[in-house]
Amino acid sequence: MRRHIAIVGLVWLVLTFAGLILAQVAFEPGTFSDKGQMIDDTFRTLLIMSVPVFTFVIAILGYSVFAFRHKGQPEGDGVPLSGRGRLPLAWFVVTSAMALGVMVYPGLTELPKVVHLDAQPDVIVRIQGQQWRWSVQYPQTGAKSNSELVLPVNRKIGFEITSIDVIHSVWVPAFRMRIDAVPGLTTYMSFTPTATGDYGTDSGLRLQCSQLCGLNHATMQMPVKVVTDAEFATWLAANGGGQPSGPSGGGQPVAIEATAGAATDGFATKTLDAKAGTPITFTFTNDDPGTVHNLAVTADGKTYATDFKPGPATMTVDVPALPAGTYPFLCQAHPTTMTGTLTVK
Amino acid sequence: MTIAAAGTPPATRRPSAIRGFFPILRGLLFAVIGGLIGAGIAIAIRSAMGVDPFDRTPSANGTIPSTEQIVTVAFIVAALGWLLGVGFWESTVRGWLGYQIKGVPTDWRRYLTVSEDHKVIGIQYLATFIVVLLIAGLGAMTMRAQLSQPGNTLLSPDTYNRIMSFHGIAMVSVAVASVMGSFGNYFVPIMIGARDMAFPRLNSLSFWLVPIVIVSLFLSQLLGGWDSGWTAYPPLSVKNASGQIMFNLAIIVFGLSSILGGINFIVTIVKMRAPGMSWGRVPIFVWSVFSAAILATFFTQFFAASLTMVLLDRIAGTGFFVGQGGAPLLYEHTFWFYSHPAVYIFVLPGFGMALEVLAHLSRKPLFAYRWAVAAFIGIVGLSGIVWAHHMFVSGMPNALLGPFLVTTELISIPTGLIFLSALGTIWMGRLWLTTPMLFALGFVFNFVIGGVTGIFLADVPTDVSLHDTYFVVAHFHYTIIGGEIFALFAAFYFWFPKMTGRMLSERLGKINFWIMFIFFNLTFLPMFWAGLHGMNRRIATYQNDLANVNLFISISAWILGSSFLVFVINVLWSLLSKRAARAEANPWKARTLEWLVSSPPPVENFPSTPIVVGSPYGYGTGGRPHAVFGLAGASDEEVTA
Repeated sequence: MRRHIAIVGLVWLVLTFAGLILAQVAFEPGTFSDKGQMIDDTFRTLLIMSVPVFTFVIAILGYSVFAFRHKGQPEGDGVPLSGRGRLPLAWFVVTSAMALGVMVYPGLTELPKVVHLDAQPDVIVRIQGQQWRWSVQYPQTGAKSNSELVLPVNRKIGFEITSIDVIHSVWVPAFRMRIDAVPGLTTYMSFTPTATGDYGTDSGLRLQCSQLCGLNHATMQMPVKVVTDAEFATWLAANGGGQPSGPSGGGQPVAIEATAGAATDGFATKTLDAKAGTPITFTFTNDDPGTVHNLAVTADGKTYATDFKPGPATMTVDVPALPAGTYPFLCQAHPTTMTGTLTVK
Repeated sequence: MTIAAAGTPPATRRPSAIRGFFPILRGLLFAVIGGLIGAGIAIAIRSAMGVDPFDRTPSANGTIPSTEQIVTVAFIVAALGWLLGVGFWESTVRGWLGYQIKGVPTDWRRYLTVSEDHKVIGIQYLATFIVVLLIAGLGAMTMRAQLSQPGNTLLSPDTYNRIMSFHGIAMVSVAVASVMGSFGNYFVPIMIGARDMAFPRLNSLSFWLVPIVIVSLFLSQLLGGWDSGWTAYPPLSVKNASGQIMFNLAIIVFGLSSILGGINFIVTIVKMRAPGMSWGRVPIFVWSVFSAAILATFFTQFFAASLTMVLLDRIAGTGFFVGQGGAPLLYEHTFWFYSHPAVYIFVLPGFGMALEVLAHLSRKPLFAYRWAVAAFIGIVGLSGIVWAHHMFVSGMPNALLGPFLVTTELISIPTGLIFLSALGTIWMGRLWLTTPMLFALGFVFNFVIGGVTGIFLADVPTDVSLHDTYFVVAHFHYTIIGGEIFALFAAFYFWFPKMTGRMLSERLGKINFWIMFIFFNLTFLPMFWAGLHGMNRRIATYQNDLANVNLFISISAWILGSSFLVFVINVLWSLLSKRAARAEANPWKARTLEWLVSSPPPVENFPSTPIVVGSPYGYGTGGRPHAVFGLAGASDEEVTA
């Protein structure tokens, strides 16, 4: 018995030593955020802690199969160890201590750091998910994009996330961070990007939906780019930043409404009027409980659209001065049933 | 009523093969008739309410409520029709109406109708779930074909999502019912020295609800299938194709089957143990089924309630989860109330099975028996307070993260005790490396990987990064295939001789084990790596830089799949070949009660009531046997624990 225990102990030590060396290998792709670094460090800590546990089981299992195996039916029985007495109690105490230890560190000590939200982030980014695309908004400047998420390096970013239809999940593998986008809720996440890069050079820099959301879930992605402050400012300006943000653009007001059942019955009014030569601010009131609508006006080949929001909600969109004529408008969520005509005189 | 047409043929007439299938064919016919009647009722109610019965106007969620209402009512009546047709008319309803209940055939045809014999029901469960396992496995093979290269166009995204969703729920049903329903039903009564389960008729009802579930999951494909996975999170499950309602109805029925089975096991194990079978002498497999039965009885209702609310959102416009005031997170909570305990319904009988085989085939007492029992009870207790570890990134309040991290990691303590018992049992044993023993040892190897990687997911900081990636896919396949399915195979190879009276080929069994063990690990170990490299789960395509690892996984998975062919050949050869060896009463020289009777056991299980006089695991002690058969007429009162 002592000889067996000595050999298993030796096997365990050798396997543990080998495992701890293997656990140093950098096998993850690099991270691009401060919290990503914390998460990677936590992962490494857990990996190192789990090595001796894993090798302990493997050493006993492997050695027993090797040393105690019989060809064919064994004659007689094994040593009748009942497992009463102090050994199981000691096992219980040791494993409990290990479990409590791993709960405290790295569990409870690292948790608040990773989920911590910056009260005053440098940049606020609103992310909205819908089947099956992302859109991002920078409310401090009014910039918007449906094609890429651009973030400045070394700035605290605060995300405000929601969805207009089903549950999605915001995940950028290179940042390691993730939070679900839930309809009717705003969820929050914050971190600081720590290196510049883009999707072209690192496929982990993509905003990937990671909660099953239907047909095109796998390809519900948006490239992510981390840039310098100067590049960020240029990008904001090129994407509608710098305009006054807020609900009203100060144009002539035109109001329209959708009531319950609008998805089949259409807008409350099918015709709208406005004056030519003056910018127009449309105020769209969605009173259709829980159903997502928006208002989109098409003029000169361009579409001016409000956000999508479930009722009750009010959305606005500014349209530049238009020449006299008629222009179609519709709800992009219900383009066949919710249509109308804007007459500019 | 004219339904009572099916009589038992006179004993003198040789039954034809067709007649054996008569109850099932009649059940299908009645299901169709029931479905038509149900549809008629729904149409009549809609007409009476003054609405167009076939109104095609979509709801605010884009679904067609009229169709779904008709399908729902049709489903309910069709399910009742199926049950009546398949045999509950003869076995049950006739009795309610004051007629004499008809007997069940005693030959092979009893497997194809309502039998109340727990051994027949066990085999019905086993055959059914092996078929489901193979079909759902084919689904996995198809998914791996699609994922063998990025941007593959073999399957459309919709087809992929539907196969993935089907694979998920079908395998979950296998995991819930394969060990419990088959080996639990067959062996728990024998191992405790009982003649049958406490409620034999309820037991048959538990089984005959299952075909409804499986057929409905297939029929749902005619209604567009469902693409919301086995989790069916709303709002997606309120807005997707109408196949979703068939999923909901099917799984509600499956839940009913589970609850009925759970109650039956609890009562059987508490009330029907043979004289002398004190709680300290109950075989560990029985303890594990008892624990899982408690979970099934008390938690399944939460899943059924969640699915009912989704169903009502679709057919009655209730708005639990969508629209103003709808709360999608509510579903996630109530769903995981059940679905986390459910993973212990999967794996506890697997633990019990593996420990049982390890003890008998190491020729040693089960090490630290009482601690292993305590571990089961501890897991039952803790499993109810860990559910929200599935929701660390759901947007629930941050204050809940810490408590659920703590409760989840607490579960590693009782799980550790199972390892103590397993390792202590093989230590200094005389290991008889037969196929069931190899599978039980494989279980220990796989489960330690599944268990250790679970810590990374219980820890919030790492879960934020790993959640919904292939790291999770690898982890739960390690626990469910590597754990429960390996234990299922251990049980199958261990008990097949007892159930059929025939031995399986050891050579084919070992080939089966080694292919399965090696390629299981080669399939799922690389998935941890893929997850760390940004591969999220439930996707029909992925980034180009993950091409190599996915091709490797796909090839390994196909070889893993082929190991099941070896298994099927082994079983068929043993059952059909005249040269297959016959099994004696106790081929493994084991001590528990099932080995004291012939293979297969007689209908009444025992010649007389067994009297339990010692431990089921008294190997090497030279002491008393586990049980003796009492004198005829010995009453229960004469021997007490």
